[in-house]
Amino acid sequence: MVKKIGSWNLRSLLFILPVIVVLIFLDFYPIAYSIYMSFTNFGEFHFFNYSFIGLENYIRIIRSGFLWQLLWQNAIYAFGSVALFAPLGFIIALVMNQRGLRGKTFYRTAILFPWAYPAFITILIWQGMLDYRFGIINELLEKIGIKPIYWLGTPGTAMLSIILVNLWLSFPYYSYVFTSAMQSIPTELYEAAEMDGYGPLGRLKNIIMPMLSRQIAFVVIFGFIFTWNNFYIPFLLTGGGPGTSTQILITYSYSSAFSYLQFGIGAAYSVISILVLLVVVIIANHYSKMMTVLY
Amino acid sequence: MTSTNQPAESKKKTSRTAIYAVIIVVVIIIIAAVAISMNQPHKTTTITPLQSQKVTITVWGSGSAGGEAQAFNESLASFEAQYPNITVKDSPAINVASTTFPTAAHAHNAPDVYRDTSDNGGALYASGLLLNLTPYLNSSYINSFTKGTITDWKLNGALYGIPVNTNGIALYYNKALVPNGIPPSNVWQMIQDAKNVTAMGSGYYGLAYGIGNDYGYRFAAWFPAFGGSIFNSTHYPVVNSTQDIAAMSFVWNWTVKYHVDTVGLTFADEQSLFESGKSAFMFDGPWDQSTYEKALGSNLGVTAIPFNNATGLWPEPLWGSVGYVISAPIASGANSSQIWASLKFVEFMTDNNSQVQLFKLAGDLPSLIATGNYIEKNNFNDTVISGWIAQEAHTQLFPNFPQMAAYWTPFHTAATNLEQNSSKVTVASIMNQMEQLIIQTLNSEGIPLSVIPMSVISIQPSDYSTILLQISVPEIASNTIKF
Repeated sequence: MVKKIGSWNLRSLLFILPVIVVLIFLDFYPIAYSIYMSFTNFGEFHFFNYSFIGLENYIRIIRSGFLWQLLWQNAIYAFGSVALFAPLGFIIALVMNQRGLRGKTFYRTAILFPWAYPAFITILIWQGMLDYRFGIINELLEKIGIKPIYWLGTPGTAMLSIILVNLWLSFPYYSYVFTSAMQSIPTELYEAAEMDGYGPLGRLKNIIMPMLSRQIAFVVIFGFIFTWNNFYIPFLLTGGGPGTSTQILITYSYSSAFSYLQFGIGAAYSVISILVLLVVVIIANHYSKMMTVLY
Repeated sequence: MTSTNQPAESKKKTSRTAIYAVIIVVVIIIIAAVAISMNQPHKTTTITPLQSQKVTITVWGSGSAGGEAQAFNESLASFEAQYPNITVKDSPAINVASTTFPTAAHAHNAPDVYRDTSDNGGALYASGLLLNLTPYLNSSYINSFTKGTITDWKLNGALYGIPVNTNGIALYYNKALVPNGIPPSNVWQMIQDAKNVTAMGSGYYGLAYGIGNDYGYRFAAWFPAFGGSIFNSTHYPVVNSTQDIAAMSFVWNWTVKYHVDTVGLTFADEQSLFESGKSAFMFDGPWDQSTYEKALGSNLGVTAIPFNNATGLWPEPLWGSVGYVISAPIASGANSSQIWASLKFVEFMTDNNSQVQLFKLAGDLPSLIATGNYIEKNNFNDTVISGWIAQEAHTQLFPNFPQMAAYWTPFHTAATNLEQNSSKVTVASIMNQMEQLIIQTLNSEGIPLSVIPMSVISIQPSDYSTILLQISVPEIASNTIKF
C-alpha cells in the first residue's frame, strides 16, 4: 500500500527526488543566491564583510542611465533575432516538407551543420569574415561595387552582425521544430484540401498555419527567451562593443562582476534580466497559451 | 486522457499545487543561502612551527608563453631542491587576471601564491584578498628593485606583490623603411618617415595604428607627451583637459591630416601591415617581439617612442609588470607555515638567477636593478634590448587604483565615435564624452571619484590578524627574511 500525505504520493516523490535534488543544486540555489547577492554590497570594497543593503544596487543601476540603454539593446537583439529566425525556420521547413522533393536527407543534414558545429569556432570564423579590411564579406561587397562596411566597428552594424550570427547558429533548430510539427499534420487533411481545390497558399493558410499555431508561439517565445540571455555571441563576437553598444544585460552583468569586481551590482543586473523575461513570458503565455505545447 | 482534457477544476488545482511547491522550495533555498553565507565559518588556521615541518603551498604560476613556462619550471625545480620541506602544487593553467581567483578566494580556497599583473593585483588587494607584504620585507630588499617597478606594486603605501619582470609598449620599427635604418628621434621625424612609406603605394600606411580598436592602453602613452594624464592626483578623471585633447588631436591627425594612418584597422591588421613591410612602425610590447623577429629578421628595431619636439615632453607608455602576490589567509586559509613558505617561494622566483633565466628564455625585462645591469653589460647579442632600456627611462606608472577599471571601455566608446563619426564630432567633444562616460561608469559601479582611503577598502585586519600576529618565528616577525 503506497502511503499518501495529503494529495502527495510518496512513491512518486521518490521517483522525482533525483530531479528535485539536481534542480535545487543547479538551478534554485544559484538563482536564490544571486538574488540574495543582489541585495548586498558584495564587491571590491566589501569582499568578505558584505552586508544587506536593500535596494541600493537596483537604485544605483536605475540612476546610472546604463539600464535603459541595455534594455533597449537587449530588446533589439532578442526581437531582431526572433524576427529573422522564426520566419526563416518556417520557410525552410515548408520547403523541406514538400512532397517529391529530391535529396531531402542531404538538405536536412546540411541544414543541421551550423547548429552541430561548435558555436565558439563558428563565432570566431564569423569574426574573421566580418573584418573590415581583410574579411571576405567586405571583399565580396567591394567586387560588386559596394563600399566596405565596418561590421563590428559601428554600433548599428555590430548589432546587426550579432543578430546575423545568431540567425546562422539558431535557424537549424527552429527549422527542425517546424519540420517535425508539419510532419505530424495528418496527410488526409492535405488530400481533402486538394480535393476541395486549395492550392499551396490555401493549404498554408487553412491547414498548416492553424495546425502549427502553438508551435509558432512556442518558437517565438522560447526563441526570445533563449536569445535574451544568450551570452556568448555578443561576448565573443564584439565583446559588447564598440563601446557598450552591443552589451546586453547578461554580458554587462559579467562585466560588472569581473571587470569592476562589483558582484552585488552584477547580480542585480542578472536579476533584472530574469525579471524582464518573466514578465514577457507571463504576458505572452496569457495571450498565446504557448505553454500548453509542453503539456 | 491527456492533461488538456482534464476538467478545469482539477487542472487549476494541479497548477496551484505546483506554484505552492515552487514558492516553498525557493523560500527554503533563499533562507538556506542567506544562513549559509552569514554563518560561513572562515577556515581555521593552525599556527605551527615553520622550517622543520613539511609544508605544501599552492601556486597559480600561469607561465603564459613557452619561454616563460620553461623559466618558471627551471626556477621551481631549483627552489624545490633548495627547500625540500616545501612542496609546491602548481596550476599553470590559471592565467593572470583570471576571474577564477576571486571566485576561489570567496570560497576561502585561493592559491597561496598567484602570478598576476600589477594593476589586477591592485584590485585584488583593494578587495582584501592579498597580503600586505610590507611588514615582512626589509628596505634593502625593496630597494633592490627598479623604483618604478616596485612602486607599481604599492597601493596606499602597502606593497602587495613582488615584480618578476617589467613591461609596456615601445616603438618597433622596420629598419628597411626608415632612412639609413635609424629610428626617428622626435615625433616630427616619425611622421616624415611614415609619410615616405605611405607614398610607396596603395595599402601602405607608414604609421598604422587602429585607434578605434584600442581600449586606451597604447594610446595612454600620448597623454604625458602633451602634459596630460588620465586621472589627476585625487583619482578624478581629467581626459577632458586641454592637454589630453591636444594628445588626441595629434594622434587623430595621423589619419586626417598626415594620411599616414587609416580608419578601421584592428590590431591584427596593424600587425599584418607591419610584418608585410607596409608600415614602418608598430606600438607594441615585448610579448609580440618573437612574431616580428620572425617576419622582419634583422630589420626589426625597437626604440623609445620618440620625443615630442612640439612640447618638449616624452610620450610615456603605461609601464606595468607581472609579479607574485600572496593571498591573505582569509582568502586562502593559509597557516603561518604556508605564509612563510610562500614568502620564501616569492623571494626565490623573483631573484637574480630567476630573472636572468626569464630574460634568456622569454625576453622578459627584469625588475631587479642588478639583473638589468647584468643584462646591459653582457648584451647577449640582443640588438633590441637597448631600445627597451631606452623606453624604460620614459614611462608612467600603470595606475593600479580601482578607478582605472572605468577608463578602458569609455576610451573605446569615444575613440570609435571619433573614428566613425569624424564629420559630426570634434576631438574636444569626444574627450568630453570619454570623461563623462568614465564618471558615469564609476557612479554606476559604486566606485568613489576620489582616492579611496585604506579604511574604506575592506582589508579587515581583524579577519586575519590573529594568524599574522602569531607568526612569532623570528624569521618573519622581525623582518629578517634574508635576501
